[in-house]
Amino acid sequence: MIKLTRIDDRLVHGQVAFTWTPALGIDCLLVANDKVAKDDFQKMALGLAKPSGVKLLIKSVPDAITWLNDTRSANHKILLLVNSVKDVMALSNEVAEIQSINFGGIRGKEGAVSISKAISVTEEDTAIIRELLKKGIELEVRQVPTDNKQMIENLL
Amino acid sequence: MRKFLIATHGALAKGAQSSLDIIIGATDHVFIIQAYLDGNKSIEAELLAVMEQVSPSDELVIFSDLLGGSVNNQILKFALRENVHVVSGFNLPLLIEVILSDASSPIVEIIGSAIERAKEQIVYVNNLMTIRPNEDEDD
Repeated sequence: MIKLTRIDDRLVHGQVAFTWTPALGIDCLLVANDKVAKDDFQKMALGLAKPSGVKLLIKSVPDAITWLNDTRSANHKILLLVNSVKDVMALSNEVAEIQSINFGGIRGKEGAVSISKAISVTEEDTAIIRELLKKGIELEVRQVPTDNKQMIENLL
Repeated sequence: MRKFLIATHGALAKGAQSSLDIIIGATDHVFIIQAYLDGNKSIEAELLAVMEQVSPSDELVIFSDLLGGSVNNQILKFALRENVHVVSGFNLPLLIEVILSDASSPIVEIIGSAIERAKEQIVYVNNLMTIRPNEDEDD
């Protein structure tokens, strides 16, 4: 089962390994990203960042959808990690279990506006966010589990 | 209540606290002492000020930078108190693990296992960098 779906453009890093993983009793980190799934160097780098005792799966977005909808994933406590709003939309369209999405970190870039300390969004992101909200999915901003949830609709 | 003190030569303590703020979020009950930033003064008064905020029913875990350093040496006399625990040579993984640990678990066990795990974090990364394609096991 999916314990948390998180958008974080650093994917696996300190906050994920040291706070979310123990706080939620995660036993499987699933990185859903088309580019990383094809990049052996990035896969190796994420492997080094993985906390011990936790399984790390790195799949393309379509493969992640297939795996999440398969009974094989049911016994895992999964932290699903994506690095963009676009990818999370693709996943939430196909995986009914995703009813809440954590916005952990999206760094600023050209054309993006900052809506909280760790989250910057483009116009395209905002359009997708509004669609997700229309579907009734909870969108909350927290870097670490002890932060107070900020609802994204109050930040746009 | 469990309280923490990071005590170092110079500004390492504040830097460590800044890293903790980023990785695990703001933490309560973490004191810092930065020795000799401001001349060659003893940290005695600062230590006493921290101790005043630690009641007999509290536990205090002190992280110092160097075993045998003057900071740790000045801390030693407080380590005789039953509710004070001193760990020297801390690193960031150790701080994270101890500070995030369950407050109801015994501190002696937490410190023991956190030290073992923190040692495992000191690795020669180059030796780990072996790229293995198609390693994704599925079930």
